[in-house]
This record gives sequence, structure tokens and C-alpha cells, in this order.
Amino acid sequence: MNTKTRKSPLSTNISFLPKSYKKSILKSIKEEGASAYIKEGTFSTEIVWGGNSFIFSSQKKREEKKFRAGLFLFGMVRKDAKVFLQTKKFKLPKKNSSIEYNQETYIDFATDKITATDLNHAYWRIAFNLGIISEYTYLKGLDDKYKSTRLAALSTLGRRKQYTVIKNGELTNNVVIVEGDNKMEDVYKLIRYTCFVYMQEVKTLLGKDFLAYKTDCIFYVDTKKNRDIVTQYFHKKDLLAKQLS
Amino acid sequence: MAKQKQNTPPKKETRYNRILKQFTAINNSLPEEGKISLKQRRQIIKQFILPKFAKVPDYKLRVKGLKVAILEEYNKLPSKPAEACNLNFIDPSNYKKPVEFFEIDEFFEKIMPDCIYAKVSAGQYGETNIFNTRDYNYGRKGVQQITEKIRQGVQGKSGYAFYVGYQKLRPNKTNNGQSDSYYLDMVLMLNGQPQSLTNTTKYNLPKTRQVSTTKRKVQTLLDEKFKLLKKEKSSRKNARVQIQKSIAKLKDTRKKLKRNPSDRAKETNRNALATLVAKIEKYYAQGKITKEKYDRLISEL
Repeated sequence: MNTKTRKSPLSTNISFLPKSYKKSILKSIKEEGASAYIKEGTFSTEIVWGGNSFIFSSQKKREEKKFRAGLFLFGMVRKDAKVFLQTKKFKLPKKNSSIEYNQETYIDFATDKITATDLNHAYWRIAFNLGIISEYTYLKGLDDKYKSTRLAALSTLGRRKQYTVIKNGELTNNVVIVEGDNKMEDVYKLIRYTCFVYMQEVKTLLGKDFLAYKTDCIFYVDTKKNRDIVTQYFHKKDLLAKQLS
Repeated sequence: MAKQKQNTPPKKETRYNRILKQFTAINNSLPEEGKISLKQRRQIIKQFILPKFAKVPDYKLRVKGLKVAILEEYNKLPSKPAEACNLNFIDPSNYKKPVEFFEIDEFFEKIMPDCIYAKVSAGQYGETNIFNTRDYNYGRKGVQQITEKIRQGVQGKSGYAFYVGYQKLRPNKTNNGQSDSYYLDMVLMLNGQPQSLTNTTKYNLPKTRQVSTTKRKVQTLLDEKFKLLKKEKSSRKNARVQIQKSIAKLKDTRKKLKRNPSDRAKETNRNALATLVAKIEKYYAQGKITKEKYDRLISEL
């Protein structure tokens, strides 16, 4: 595998096309024996050919409609994050794992009661609490229909892009990496790491009653005391949460 | 006895026609990239040339003077590289990307250079003659008829009918790399199946730095056109959204007025109506909404 790195984007002419056109474009590239680049992501597939970039959604039609409706959030988040970078200095917290289990506590599922507390729109709320996004942006993106878009808007901050090279119409193993913005990427890391720090702190507070946490949801032995500990902690951090089961 | 011929005086050539005649003769003598459309020629005559000779009496109007004035106008026009009219220099990604059947007009008018030869081949829905995009006209070239036929045939199936472009050789021309030897055949695809021949003829350009630089220049030109179109589209969309918002507001005020017919409610309703009308008029004047939409909105009010 051959990897090349470049700083500038491959194309700035972006067209959003229906999924059904992807096949036609790939066929045309093959017919022409042209060189192109392809990147397949969770939300979309991007093909860069000539001076044009074609983006096809990978989502179902209904989801895609929702995603498109929230595209404005990308611009708002980027703008806010730039302001945040210019006005505030920050240090990244310690990197903790996004998933953790307590392997020492034995749980008898027949008798022991388990509960979980899940943070509502965790990353979005943390970004707001840390001052990365403004109140206006926060409120705009709060609607449930924008869930996937607001997550994508945060997670793509300054992210590098990796494309697979198509040469003479054939897919190769070669890769081109378009460098991202490291500082912007750190802003997203700050959100994630802050979330995991919170989880670690709740874990310490719960002691042996802690069972597991996964990103923004924590599982523990169900007692009134434990519930109070968790609820009060999240309340103190100005986070919104819901109790599962 | 032979019928006597009626003596009708010959129709006097108007000043406008005299200028247009000269303009067309000069235009025809220019290379492809320098030619301008009839519409543009007419506009230039009305806006610049006629006012320039307004004080000159007809008997003093000389061809030489007209030619100088016309050439001056040509010099004012932005120049484009000759290769922009040559399909061999245009990256295929620009015309091989699927074009929705109802966006074909926009493709010819706003995306492709205004000096290439093109054709629309839609199989059962008909085909046009080869025309130059410089003199392209949606209604007159038969493209509109084809679009309407496809619209009826497709019946709202999204992503089903689209065009893909193929570079082909014009009849009686040789594959010599000249810009007027090729045309762009926009072939209709129905569910991915081509409705006409998809063979292609290309001239093998030498792989030199000069060629790649020229190709890049042409692409930059197309990029600029694309950006302009995007801007235009987003401003049209913005206009639509603004009108929808105003309609929603008007409906809301009407409801409130029905519930409580107070003076204040009447005033709010009047204001909402005035705002909506002003917006519709403004966007129509700016060309952001079509005549049909304007008429419909006004009649609904």
C-alpha cells in the first residue's frame, strides 16, 4: 500500500447526488479509464473525479432527508469552534477509555438489580458547557431530528480525510490522506475526553457498585443511594440525563 | 396584355438591422471562442452601439465607423481560452456526471461553456439537432418538448431518468482535435439504460505540461461557472423559504383575526400581507421566482 499526504482538499466543487447515481459515475470512470479518489464513510460516500467532488448519502431516504435538513449545523459549529479556539486556551484532559467494565464485581442477574443512567445529547451538551458552541447553536441543534447531523458536525471538526485511489478506472490499494486541522481536531477530543473524565469520576464515586460505562451511559447496582450519587454528579456538571430501567 | 407590376418602394433597412448585419458578419469571421450569441449581439447594439450613433444622421453612417464601434465592444468582452470550446480539453467528469432530465436546460446554459456543439438524444422521447450552446434556447431547440415528454413518461420516479454526456464526432468532420469537429451528445438513461448510442470519439492529446496547464485553465473556468450557479441556486432557495415563511405568518395572523377581530389583529394581518406581497414582487423582479409561480402566488392571495 502506498500512502501520500496532501494539505489542500482534492476538490472544492461539491455536488450532492442521489445514491442511484453512484453506479453510473463509477461506470463512467471505468469507461474513461480515468483517475479518481473514493472515500466511503458512515454517512456518505465521496468520489472525487477531475475537478468535481460527488457526494452520495449512505443513509436511508428518510434519514438522509433529516440529515440534509440539519446541514446548516456544520457551518454553525465550525464558526463557533473557530471563535472558541481564538478566545480560549485549553489543555486536553487525560485520555480515558470510552468503554470500561468492572471485572471484579460479580453480578447475579437473577437476584441483583441493575440500572443505568444515560446522558442526553452528551457531546452536544458538553460542547455547550465548555463554551465550544454558542447557546444559539446549541438550541438550534437540540431537536431530535438533527441527532445524526449534530454528531457529525462535531466529529468532523478538523478531521483528516482518507481516500482510496482509482487509477485507470480500477480501484487500487493506494491511499491519499488530506490533512485536517489539528487544533480543530483537539476541540472534538476535548469534548470526548471530558465526557470520559466524567464517567471515570462517577465510577470512582460508585466504587464497587460500578459495573460498566459506554461513552455516555453508565451501568451500576441499583440502589437509591447510587442513583442519588449519579444524578447529583451529573446535575453538578450541568448535564441532562435519563434513568434507564 | 401583360399585367403591370405594382411599384412598391423597397423597404428601408433600419439602422438597427444595418448594425446587426455588420455585427453578424464580424461575428462569423471570428474563431469559436470569440463568437457571441445573437441575444448578446442584440443586447450590445441596444445598450451601447445605437446610443453611440444617436446623433449621427443616416446618410452619414459609415460601415467603417460601425465596424470600429463593434470591434471596440468585442474588446470589452472577457476573453476565454480557445480550448474552452474544445471538448478534448474539458474533463469528462463535467459532463459524465448524471444530469437530472429536468436540469438539462441549466446544464447547457450555466455549466457548459457557451461555445460547444451539443445534442440531446432521448430515444423514444425524441432528439434534437446538433446545436451550439452559444445560441441555445430551451424552447426553440426542442429540449423543452423532450423534457415535458419525459416528465409525463417518468411520472415522478426519482433518480430514474438522467442524462450522461458522450463526446462524439460531428458529421462530415475528421478526428483532428479541432473544437468544431466534436459535439456533446447528452444521452438519456432510463434506470441506467442508455436510450441512444454511447460510442465516443476522442482525440489523443499529447501528454505535455502545456496541455495539462490548459486543461487546468479550462477547469478553472468551469469551476467559476459552477460556483456562480450554486450561488444563484441557493439565493433562489432562500427566496422560496422566505416566501413560505411569510405565507405561514399570514395564515397565522388570519387565524388570530378570525378568533379575535380586534383593530390590532387587523393591523398585523394587513402588515403580514403587505410584507408577503413586497417579497413576491421583489423576488420576481430579481428573477428568483418564475412567472408561473408569481402568477400562482398572487392569484392565491
